[in-house]
Amino acid sequence: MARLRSGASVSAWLLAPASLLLIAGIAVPLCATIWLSLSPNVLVHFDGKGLGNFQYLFKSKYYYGVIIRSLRIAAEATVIALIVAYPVALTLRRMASRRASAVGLAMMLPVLSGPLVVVLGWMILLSDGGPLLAPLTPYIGRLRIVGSETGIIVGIVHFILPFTVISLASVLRLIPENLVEAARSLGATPLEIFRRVLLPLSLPGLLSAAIIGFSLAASSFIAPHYLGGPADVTLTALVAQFVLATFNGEMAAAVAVLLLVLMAAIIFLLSIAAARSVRT
Amino acid sequence: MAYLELDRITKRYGTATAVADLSLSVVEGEMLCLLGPSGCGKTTTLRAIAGFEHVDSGAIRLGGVDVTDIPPEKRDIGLVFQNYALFPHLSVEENVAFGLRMRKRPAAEIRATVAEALRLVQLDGVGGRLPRQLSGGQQQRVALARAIAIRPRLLLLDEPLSNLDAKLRDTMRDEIRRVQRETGLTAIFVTHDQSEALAMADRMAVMDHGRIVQVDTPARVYDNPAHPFIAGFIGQANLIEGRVVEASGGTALIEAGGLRIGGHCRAALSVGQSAMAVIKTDRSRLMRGAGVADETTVPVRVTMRTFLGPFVSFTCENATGVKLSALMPSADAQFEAGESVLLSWRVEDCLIIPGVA
Repeated sequence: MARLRSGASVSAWLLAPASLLLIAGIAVPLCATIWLSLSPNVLVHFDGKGLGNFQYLFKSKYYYGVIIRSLRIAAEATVIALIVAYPVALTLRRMASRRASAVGLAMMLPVLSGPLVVVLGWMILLSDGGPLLAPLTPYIGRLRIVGSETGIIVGIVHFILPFTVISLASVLRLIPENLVEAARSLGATPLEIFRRVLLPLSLPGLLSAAIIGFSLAASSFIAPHYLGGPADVTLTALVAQFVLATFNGEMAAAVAVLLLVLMAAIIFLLSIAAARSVRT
Repeated sequence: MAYLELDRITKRYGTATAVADLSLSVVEGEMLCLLGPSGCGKTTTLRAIAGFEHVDSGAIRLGGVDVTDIPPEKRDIGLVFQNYALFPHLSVEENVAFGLRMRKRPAAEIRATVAEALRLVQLDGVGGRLPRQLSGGQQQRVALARAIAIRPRLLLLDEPLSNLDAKLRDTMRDEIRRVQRETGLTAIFVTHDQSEALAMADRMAVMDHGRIVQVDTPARVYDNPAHPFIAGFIGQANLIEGRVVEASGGTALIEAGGLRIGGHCRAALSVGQSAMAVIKTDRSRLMRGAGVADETTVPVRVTMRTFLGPFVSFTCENATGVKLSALMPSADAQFEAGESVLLSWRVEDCLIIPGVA
């Protein structure tokens, strides 16, 4: 009994630094942000604390557009990333585990090099008349990608792709090969095996990949900032504008809290769907 | 005319040969067992028949048609996997219906066939459940129903009983045999368990190192092992290696470790060649006193006595270090470890077979 108690107190001590860091680094700033978001400011006037800032954001046609655009871009990027990631994950599933983890590591390299480097690379590659688009101009005309929503989506998809691949592959690898063989012996073509065996069994992984992809996409700032145009402001860019351009901390906090709440709601819905897909 | 014919198939993995120049004919409606220790190539052979392994050379013919290059999904072969491989997200009924859906059968026909298959494996009433809600034996029945529902041209079973506990194993053994008889399907099953093979097979093919060493009915393989490997693998037997000292018309005498052992032989033996005496332990017995005519007796010391319920197994050793065992009914087994006794067997119970070169 004494030993048990001392073991518990040791683990409490071991957890202390991380807990303190979490409280100091996340809980305190989060509370401060929420507090700030409920406060009146130069743009929105009201007495005491209230939801005035949020009402203002939803009522303004411009800000409402930003909210919708942010969610749409994140959703589109997530769906594209999932579609691109699935065949990659299927290929990884068939590889020996050592090779698969080498490929997984290689895919993480762009992430490890930092999103700024990667986005700058895209800016060079996709610039008007750049190495990728110039040769195509005779066929598709002058296409503008950098400074458009397409540019943002390219950047985000590229950033979240490794996360979605790894999340999907980890679930696909759990599907025993003899289920695929059983389906084949019963006459299933590769398409039917995908539709009736692999896809339904990987649904939990697909949803967890969607959760990871969507939260990274919705909170990304560098890709929208560098690859988007002036008309493509997202919620993250809006936070930066309020902080850096108009010095309105209260509105910046309100936008940040709004983004957080929207993400939490969507992730919550996806988690419920994921839990349900596991159960059936 | 053979229904399934394996014509000199070979399968290599890198430098290792899993199946070596193997030929086998299976008659329509029979249940054939591929028996052998792990790594003997039996599973590779089964997977080659199913189409999951492409053979490096040789041909596989089913019903007179060469299927060597036909992919598994077009072979119409029912496969029961060792761990069942049921689709965990589909109900029992949907599992059984899977192959019929792939064949785009009308809904009414699917419903009827599924019900019939489940009735055949005595699982009516659990159709709506998921596989994980079933016991191991029930899952095995679902796997069997799923394989037979497509009315396959051939039924393959990979170690079908190895994941079941001992009591269930006997029940399922009889069930599989009954279902196979009732459907009239030609079946091949793979096992490393000789008692399963002896009990279930019409004929058994004993494999070793990628080759078939003997194909015959279980009784004949048991009584007349054609090869020292089978003698050691099937049944429990005393195997005594020696050299032929006399051989004439169906009988032979070998000398081994100072013993002279006589027995009958099927293959022609010549004096001086290496040979092996095979005496089933259940045909050997211990006794006190003098030897009996027509029996070979060896003075031994009992080194171990193991009580097995209806039988007692005795491990013995003679003066020159030859180890011999005897399996005796418990009622006659009044011998103790350390005792010096005679171990004997009737001359006709000893089979002399050619040794491994």
